Amino acid sequence: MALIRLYMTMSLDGYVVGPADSVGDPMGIDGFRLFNWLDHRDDPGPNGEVVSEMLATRAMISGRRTYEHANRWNGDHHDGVPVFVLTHDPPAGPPPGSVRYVTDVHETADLARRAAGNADVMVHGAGVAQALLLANELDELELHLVPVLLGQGRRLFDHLPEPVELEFIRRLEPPVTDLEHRVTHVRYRIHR
Amino acid sequence: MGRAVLDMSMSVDGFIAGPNDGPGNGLGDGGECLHAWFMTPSDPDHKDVTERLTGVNREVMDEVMATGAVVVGGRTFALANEWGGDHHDGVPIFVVGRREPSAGQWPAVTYETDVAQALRLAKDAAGGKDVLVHGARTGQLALQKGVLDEVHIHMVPVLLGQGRRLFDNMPPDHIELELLHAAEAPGVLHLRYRVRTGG
Repeated sequence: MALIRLYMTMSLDGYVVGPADSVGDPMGIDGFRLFNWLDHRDDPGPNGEVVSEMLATRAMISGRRTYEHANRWNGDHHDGVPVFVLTHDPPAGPPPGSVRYVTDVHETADLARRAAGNADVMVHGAGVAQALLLANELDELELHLVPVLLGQGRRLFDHLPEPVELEFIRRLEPPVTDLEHRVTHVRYRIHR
Repeated sequence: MGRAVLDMSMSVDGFIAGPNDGPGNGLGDGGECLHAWFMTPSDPDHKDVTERLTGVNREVMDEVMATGAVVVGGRTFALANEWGGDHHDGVPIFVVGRREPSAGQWPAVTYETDVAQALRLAKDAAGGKDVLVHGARTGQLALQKGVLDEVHIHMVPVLLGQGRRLFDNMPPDHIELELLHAAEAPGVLHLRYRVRTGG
């Protein structure tokens, strides 16, 4: 069965965006620091490997905030794979491209797993990640750990009701010399 | 001159203790898993820790025990039962804060309210060795004052969900780090960072 894997860039202090994020300022104040490493996303080696694994997924789950802040990816995140947006309050009007709005977390996971077939499902968004985690529907975390303390912003994991045990799978260290563009890719399996 | 090294075990979601930490429950509810990589229930004071560990975990702990002085927050110090006045090898301990009337009388322990001054004194006392910095609040203050040289995180594969965070209530200024070394070991990922900017 398809694995549902979260892909998120996170600072060492746990933030995925800077403070005061909005549609006009989707990464918050100075939050784009986290995405420096993406300048090297097509490098041969670990960065290219992680990104091509992500783009080999055959379905996507996104939270509403991430979806809106990313301009709805113009209806196509990659290769036209189905995008399931988990939202309490679906927007009026038909969704663009391969996007579908879903209000139930289990239904979202079920639809995405079916759509992905033998491939995996990628997830973007802190809120939806926590919702999937709480519903026991998240299988793995692929964290792009950036060597910076952001100090403030929106956290990837905030106030989970109880501990979740993880299993370390792998660590990939891209050989980037520029200190501003370094990242460590860490993968964990979620025990449930 | 040795380096000032903040050394903490932390969950993937950034916690160094579970909720309700306090006297008799130093790591908070469910927080024991954070120290499981080096501690066993039969060795609560972890005095025999280096003899028991092997491989990478042993190397990491050997390095901790090779430091020449300790700077610790008053809260962490109290929750650790003041280590009986001796963290390791009788090295000087500088506690950031005021001495409580109930505190023990330990020859190696000095109280200092200013974290930067505590680190200056500790570096002098360490005789060229590194200074071990412990405690979330003390680590945050030292980072904000730009007096921390390295951050060693022992990242434990768990999302603790609630409790006390290592990095919290910090100003929005970015603190840039450089990963110097990383190593996986049973139950933990060791990450050693150099602080590039601070204060």
